[in-house]
Amino acid sequence: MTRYGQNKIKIRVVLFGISALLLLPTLANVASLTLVSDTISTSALGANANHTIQFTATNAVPVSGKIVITPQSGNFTIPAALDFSDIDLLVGGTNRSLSSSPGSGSGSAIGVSVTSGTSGNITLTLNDSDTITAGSAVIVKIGTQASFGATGVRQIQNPSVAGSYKISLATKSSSDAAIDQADAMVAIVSPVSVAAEREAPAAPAAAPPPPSQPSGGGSPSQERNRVICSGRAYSGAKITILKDAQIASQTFADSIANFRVIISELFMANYIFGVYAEDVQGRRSVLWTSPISVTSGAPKEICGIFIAPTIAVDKSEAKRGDDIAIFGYSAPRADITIFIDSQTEFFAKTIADKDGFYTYNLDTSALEHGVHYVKSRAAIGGSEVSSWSYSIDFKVGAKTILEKLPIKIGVEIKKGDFSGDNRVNLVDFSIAAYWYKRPSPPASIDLNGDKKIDLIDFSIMAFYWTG
Amino acid sequence: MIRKTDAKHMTQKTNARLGRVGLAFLFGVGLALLPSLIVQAAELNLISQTQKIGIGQQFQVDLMLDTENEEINAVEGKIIFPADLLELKEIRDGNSIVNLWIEKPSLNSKSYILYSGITPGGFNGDSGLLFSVIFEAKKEGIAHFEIRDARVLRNDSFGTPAEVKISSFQFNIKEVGLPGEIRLPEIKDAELPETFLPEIAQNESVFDGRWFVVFATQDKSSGIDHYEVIEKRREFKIQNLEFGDILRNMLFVFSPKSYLLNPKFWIVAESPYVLKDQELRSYIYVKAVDRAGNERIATVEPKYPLKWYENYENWIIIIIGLVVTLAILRLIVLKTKHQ
Repeated sequence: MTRYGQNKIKIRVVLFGISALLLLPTLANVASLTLVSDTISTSALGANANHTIQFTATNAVPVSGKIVITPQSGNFTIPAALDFSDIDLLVGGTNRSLSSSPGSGSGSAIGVSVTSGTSGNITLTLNDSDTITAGSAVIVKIGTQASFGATGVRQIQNPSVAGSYKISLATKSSSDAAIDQADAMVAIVSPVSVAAEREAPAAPAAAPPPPSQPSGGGSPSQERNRVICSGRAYSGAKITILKDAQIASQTFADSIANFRVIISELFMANYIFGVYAEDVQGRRSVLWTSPISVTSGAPKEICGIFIAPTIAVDKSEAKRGDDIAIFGYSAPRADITIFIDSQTEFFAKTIADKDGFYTYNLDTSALEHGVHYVKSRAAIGGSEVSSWSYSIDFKVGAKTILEKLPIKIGVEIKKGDFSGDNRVNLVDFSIAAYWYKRPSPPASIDLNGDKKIDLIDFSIMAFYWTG
Repeated sequence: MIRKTDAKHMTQKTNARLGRVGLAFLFGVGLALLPSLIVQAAELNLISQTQKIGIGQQFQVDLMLDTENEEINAVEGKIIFPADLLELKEIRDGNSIVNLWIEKPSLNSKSYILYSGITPGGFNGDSGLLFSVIFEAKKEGIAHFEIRDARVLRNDSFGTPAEVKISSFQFNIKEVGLPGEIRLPEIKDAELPETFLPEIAQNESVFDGRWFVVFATQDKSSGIDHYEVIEKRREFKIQNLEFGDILRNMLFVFSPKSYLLNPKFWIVAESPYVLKDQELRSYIYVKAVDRAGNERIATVEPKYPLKWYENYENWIIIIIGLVVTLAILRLIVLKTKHQ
C-alpha cells in the first residue's frame, strides 16, 4: 500500500474517532427504563418458556412509538409463527388490543411485528393516537399465559447452554430514535425449573446507587439473612412483597396460583412483611401482613400464605329484583364463600373455575332498598382458608347502574391514592402528613369526612396500602 | 283430692322450682355469653428491666403494645414523665413495629413525649415495641409515668378505635442505686440503614403544586437520626454502554462523588422535601444517617435529564478531541510533505 493510501486510512480512522466522540454524549443521554424484570416460566435448557416482562417507562413513548424486545442474540429462538396472539400488553394494568399492524385512532390496536430466529426481536408499535405516559408500568406477556383476546400457543425457546442472558428492552420514537433502554437478565440452569421463584433484590432500583458512604460506625457488616415467602394467590397474579411498608420484591404466581420469593440482604432484626396480589384484570387483594424476627443462620420461612380473593360487582346499583354479579379471582377450583352483609346477613357458595375465576349472581329481590356489603374468602381442601377479601358495597334501589370497566376493588377504588398513580404509598402518606392538624384540608384527602386530617385518615390509608 | 292449702303449697313449690330453673338458665346463658361480654382491649405498657435506680444512673423504658388478637394499624399518644426527677437522654425507634411516623417520638415541652404512627397492613401480636426511651435519674423520689390520650385504631378500613388498657408504671429513685453500670452501653451499630427508594411527586394541594421528593427508611439498630439531600445536574453521564458500569463507578470518584463526599453540599432535610430544581433536571441524592453515623445514599435520576449539548463536559471532550485530531492530522500532513 502506498504512503498516500496509508495516510488516507489514518485520516479515516481519525474521522471515525471524531464521529464516535460526537455520538458518545447522545448515546450517554438515553435514559434507563426502571423496575425492569423478565420472569420466565422455566429455566430449563432448550425449553420453551413464557416470558413476563415488566418495566416502567422513564420517558413517554409517543404516538407510533415502539417497544422493542431483543433476546440476547444467538441464544434464544423466537419461533417463526409467533405473533400478536401469543402476546399480551398491559399498560398501567390495562390490557391493550394487539394486531399485526398498528391501528388508527384512540383505542385501536397496537401493532406487533416479530423477527423470528435466534437473532430475532419483537416490536410493538403504538397506534397513531395513543401514547404511553412517563412513569407507566408496562407488562408484556409472551407465550401461553397471554390470554387477552386469543390464548397464546407459541413460546420462546431457551438457550441450550446454562448461563445468564440479557433481554434488551428499548422504547423508541416513530423514527426509531432511542428513548429509554434497559436489560433484564434471565438465568438458564439445568436441570431445575425455577418458575416464579427467584432471589429478589432488597428493593427495586432504577440504577445501581453510588457506592454507599459508611462512616462513623465502621464498615458495613450486613449478613446475608433471608426470608422466604411462599403461598397461594391466583393463576398468573402479580405478587408484591412489602418489607416495612415498602416494596421489597415482585413476582408472578404460576399457573396453579403458587408463588415463592426469597428476600435477602436482611439484618438480624424485626420486620413487618406484607403480601398482596393483583389478578390478571388488575384488581388488588387485601394486604396480608406478619411480623417476622430475622435471625442469622437458616432462612426464615413464611409459608402457607393464602391470599384473599379479589372481588367486584358489575353494578353499583341494581333495581330490586335484578341480579348483581359478584365476581373475582382466587386459586383454581377453590371453594368460595360469599358473605352478604345486609339487614339479613347470609352466605352464598360457589367454586372458582380452572383459571381461578369465580362468579355468583345474586338475586336482589330478597334485599331491602339501600346499601349492602359483600366480601368473599376461599378455601381449599377444607383446611386452607384465606382471609376475607375487601368488603365492597352496592345499592338496591329503583334503577340499575352498571359499573364502568375495568372494575377495580369495587366502589372504594383508590381510597388513600391522593397522587392518582394507582398506589397508596409514601407519596400519599406525605400528602396527608402535610395536612395533618392543618385547618380546612381538601375533601379528597379527608378520608372519613370529618373535616380534619388525623390518625383515623392515616389508619384508613394504612388499610389500603400498596407500597 | 287436693286440699286448697296443699294446692297453694304445691303452687309455691312449683313457682320456686321454676324460679330456680329460670335462674339456672339465665346463669348458664350468662356464662356462655361471658367471653363476648368481656371486651378484649389492646394493652399499652411501659416496661423496664430496671427496678431500682440511683441518682446519675441511666435506664431504658420500652413502650409495648399487646393487640389482644386484634389487627391494629395506627397508634398515638403521650407519655408523661416527671421532668424534675428524670432527664430524657435518648429515644430509640429502631426495630419499632411502626413503619411510618406521623409524629416521630420526641420530647414536647419538658415533660412529655408525643408519638403518632402507622403500620400499613396492621400488626397483631402481644409484644410490639413502639419505641424505647433512655432516662437518667436526677433526683431521689418516686418516678411516676403516665400514658395519656392514647389511641389504637383497627386495621378495618374505617379506623375504628380499639379499646385500650393502659398500665401505670413507676419506680423508686434512691440516692444510691444497685451496683452496676451508670450509663447504658451505647448500641454498637455498624450497619447501614435499610435500602430505600425516594420518589418524586407533585400534588396541587401541597406546596402550591411544586415538585417534592419523599423518602423513608429504617435503621434496625440505633434508628434513623436524620436525612440529607443534594440536587445536582450531572454534566456527563454514561448509561447504556457495555462498559458503562465500570466507567460510572470511576466517574463517581472524580465527578458526582466529589459532591457526595463534601459535607457542605448536603442539606439536612425532612420528607417531604420541596425540590429546588423544579425543572426536574437534577440528580437527587438522599442520604439517610443513623444515630451511629452510618449512612445510606439513594439516588433518583432526573425526569428530564440534560441534553448532550447542555452538558458542558461534552463540549470539553469534543473540543479536546478536535484539538487532538487536528494535531494528528497536522502531523500526518507534515510527515507526508516532508516525505
